[in-house]
Amino acid sequence: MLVLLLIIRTTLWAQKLPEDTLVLQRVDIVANRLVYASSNDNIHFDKSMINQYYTGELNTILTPLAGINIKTYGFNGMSNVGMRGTNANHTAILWNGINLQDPLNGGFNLSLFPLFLVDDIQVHKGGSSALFGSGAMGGSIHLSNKPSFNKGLETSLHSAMGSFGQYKFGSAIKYSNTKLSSLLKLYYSTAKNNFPFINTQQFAHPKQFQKNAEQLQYGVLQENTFFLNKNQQMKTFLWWQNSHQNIPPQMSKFVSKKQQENKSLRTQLAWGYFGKKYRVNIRNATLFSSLLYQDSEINLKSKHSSISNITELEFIRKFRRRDQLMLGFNNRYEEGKSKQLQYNGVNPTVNAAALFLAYSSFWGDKFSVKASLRNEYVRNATTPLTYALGINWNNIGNFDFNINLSKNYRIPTFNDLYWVDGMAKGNPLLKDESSLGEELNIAYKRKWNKQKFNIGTTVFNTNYSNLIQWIPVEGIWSPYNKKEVWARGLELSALYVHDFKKWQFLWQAAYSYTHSTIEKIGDNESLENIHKQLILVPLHQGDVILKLSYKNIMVNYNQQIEGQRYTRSDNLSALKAYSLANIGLMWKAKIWNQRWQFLFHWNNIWNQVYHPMPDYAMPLGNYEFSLRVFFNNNHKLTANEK
Amino acid sequence: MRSKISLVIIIAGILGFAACKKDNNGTKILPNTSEVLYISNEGAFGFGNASLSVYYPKEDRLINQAFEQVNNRSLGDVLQSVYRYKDKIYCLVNASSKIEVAQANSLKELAVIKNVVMPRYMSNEGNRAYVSCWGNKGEIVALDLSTNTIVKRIAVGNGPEHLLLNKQNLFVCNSGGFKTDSTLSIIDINNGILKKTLYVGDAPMDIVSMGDSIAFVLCRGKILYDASWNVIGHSSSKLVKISLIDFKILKSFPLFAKQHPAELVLSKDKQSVYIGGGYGFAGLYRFDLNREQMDSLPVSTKSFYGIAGDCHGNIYGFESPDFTSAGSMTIMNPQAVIIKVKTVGIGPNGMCY
Repeated sequence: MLVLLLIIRTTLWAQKLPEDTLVLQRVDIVANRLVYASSNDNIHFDKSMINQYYTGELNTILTPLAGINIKTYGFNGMSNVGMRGTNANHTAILWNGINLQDPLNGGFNLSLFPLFLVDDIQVHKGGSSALFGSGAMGGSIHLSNKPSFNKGLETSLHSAMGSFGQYKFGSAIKYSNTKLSSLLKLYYSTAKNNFPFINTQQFAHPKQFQKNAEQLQYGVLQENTFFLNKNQQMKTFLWWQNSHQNIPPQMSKFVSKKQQENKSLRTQLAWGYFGKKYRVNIRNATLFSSLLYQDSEINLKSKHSSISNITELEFIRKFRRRDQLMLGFNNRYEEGKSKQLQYNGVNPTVNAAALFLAYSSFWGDKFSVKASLRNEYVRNATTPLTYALGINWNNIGNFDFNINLSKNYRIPTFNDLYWVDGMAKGNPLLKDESSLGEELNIAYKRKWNKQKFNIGTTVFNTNYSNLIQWIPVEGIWSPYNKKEVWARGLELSALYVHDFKKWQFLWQAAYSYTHSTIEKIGDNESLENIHKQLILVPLHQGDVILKLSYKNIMVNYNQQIEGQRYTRSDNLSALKAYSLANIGLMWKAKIWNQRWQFLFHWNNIWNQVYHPMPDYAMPLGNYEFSLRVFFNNNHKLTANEK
Repeated sequence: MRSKISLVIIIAGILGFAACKKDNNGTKILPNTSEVLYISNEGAFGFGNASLSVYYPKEDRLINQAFEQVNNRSLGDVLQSVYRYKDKIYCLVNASSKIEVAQANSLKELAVIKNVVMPRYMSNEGNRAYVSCWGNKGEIVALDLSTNTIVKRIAVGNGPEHLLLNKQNLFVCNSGGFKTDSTLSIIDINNGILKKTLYVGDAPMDIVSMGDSIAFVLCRGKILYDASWNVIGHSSSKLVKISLIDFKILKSFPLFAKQHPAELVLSKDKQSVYIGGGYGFAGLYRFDLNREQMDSLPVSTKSFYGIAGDCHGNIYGFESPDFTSAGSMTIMNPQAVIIKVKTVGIGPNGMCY
């Protein structure tokens, strides 16, 4: 199948569909730094595409995509993302420009981020997001809210029900006029997750139901955007969320009494000035999160929390018609709190101040250069200068070319530096991790009549140095900068769209080959690990999407192919490859003078037994049905909303 | 003609392939031999890839992931120890909180015993077995091996580890587990009642007997931290000689000021014990039980994660370098001269025979 994919098609560019792209006449002060991202290898989900998955979480929209490695610890369980052969703490997750990676461990649980909250998602693979600082070595995911103006009062309600006792409810209340856009979103979800499965890890392979897997999540997002005058804009965000999760037993275990509670409060205040030649953005964000983990089986109860304050200033000077120069400053203060982090009786803190410079220059419509530099001062030392440089030749015939070079880094987390208990101890002497990457993108685009065909390929090479690895030394697990990893690979993507009358047919396919090998091992590691593929990084991934729409009805079929993933560093055992198919059906209608959206997702339609992570059960076929109603009598469907 | 030859070759190939396939009883992969060692490989915590290696010393044949090959599934998460009784083996899978029961000769799965929370080690008297468990604040779970059912739970100290059955008494080393402890629980197995709790020293880990009246208890000692988890010192490890008759401490022998061994192996002639094993403990030392003195130099300088002995007096050291790839088993003669080294599963920690 993978060979077939290679021959007849090739990374997802359907996300770039002009059909789905809504160009709002708006000014956005939070996401504009993305224009300096130097690579073309990006995936973009706009509002209409997110609408097709709006009851899900961030992992649901990313999981099927080739080149994005989602590690999911059971159905609706913790989920994190790696790209370009890296781990979870190497992908920056930016919410309206603010990095949400946990200062304690560098991770971010995608399954706790409801898609209902955002309007725009951009995935940047590779190191082209060097401008966004530490943690973006493998890539970055940008989650943005896009305000709309002059639409009056708009409200919506939705509810969803799905297999295994899943229920979700949400409401959005928006008000906007020419100067103000205000939004309130409320959401609540609960699930039993008691799906049946054949436990192949237990004696006699019994059929059993997943236990201790209940979940409850609720939260509020409040956002305001308003113009102080024609040149100045303010934005405020407040997002509070609480989630309780029971953690089910792994397949080889019978009982689990584990549970965790995540609480977070994220606020942001932003101000922007827009002149003809100058723009100034200032923002400040405060992020609080806590995790309470309990396992009554072993009388364990631990609580960790962190607080971050980020201040950012951007000064942008426009030149000629489209050229821009940006000078920015970022200051990030972080504090961790837990018994295990109280090094010398004090909660650990860090203050990192960074200066960055970015330039994008266009020579006509065909040639452009994007470059960025960033330098950070942290823990009384300056990090090595990081950079990204992208050179683009577009519309050379039907071809686009892009070359990208980048250098990135990641500073050690609080856990890496300060964790101390009877079995493990952090290492305050750790150096930053770093990476050096190169990539080449070539795309061929053709449009004729009402048809469109895109095909593209990306070749990448990244060397990761000083990777932090925890190893046991004299009886205590400690982190050291020992490991070096070499990731290289190829991504292919293809897209075909055909419009005829009120019909639209779309076909897209993608394949990724990621060879990520250990090139230098820790002192105590087996020599057998040298030149072996990193564990849980698939060599091959692929996906195919077929979509057919007629007026306000759309049906899509998605086939995801996940190659085998090694579970041992010496590559002596692996999780089997699997392929999953999902079907989605969406119908939009006007009933009783209101707009309604019906959505049906049938996942794993061929009832495949699969394991994204070893020893974690996943369900066979499952479904979700959702209903959303928009209340706004005066509003007419825009072309995009249709 | 050529197509017929091709067809014959294809059919022969298919038949040949079918003939190579293992059968469900595992008899094709496991030789029928009288001497076999079962090596417990913990696997990587959280990955559910604990494994069992079997080694046939006479044939010098090692089979890794043997249980998985026979039963087409892994054992579970963190195989802490394996125990043999008659024609069955019992695999104590710590993080999966279960005991897998399999035929000793074929490894074919027979049963699973649930509701044993974080099992560690096992000992038995006839069909009655006793399992130390870290769960439920530390307990001994008594099993009926004829039905593989739990018949009694006996509360002991924190983190119970190795056991010694002597006459009608069960001696339990309470290592502390996730907390701390310094005691030996002594249980009357006739009625399952705790007879005595004997203070022996910080973190008792292992116990071996020298005849019916004397036993030696290895106390690992511990690292001392201040309130901020800074290391401020150590309590030294020691070997404690106790009476199995009146349950009293007879003598105590300090071992290491800053090292903390975890296991004991009694020599075949029962005149000495080997001391080693555990996270970060460097070396393998011999303690002469008659002279009551430890050799000044280690018999091996390797850092073994676990140690064990066989019926011939050979000593086995298990190295677990990174817990994500294969570990090794070093076979040494009674003088600790290395005979051979074998690559086993992830995180090997011990064996039984």
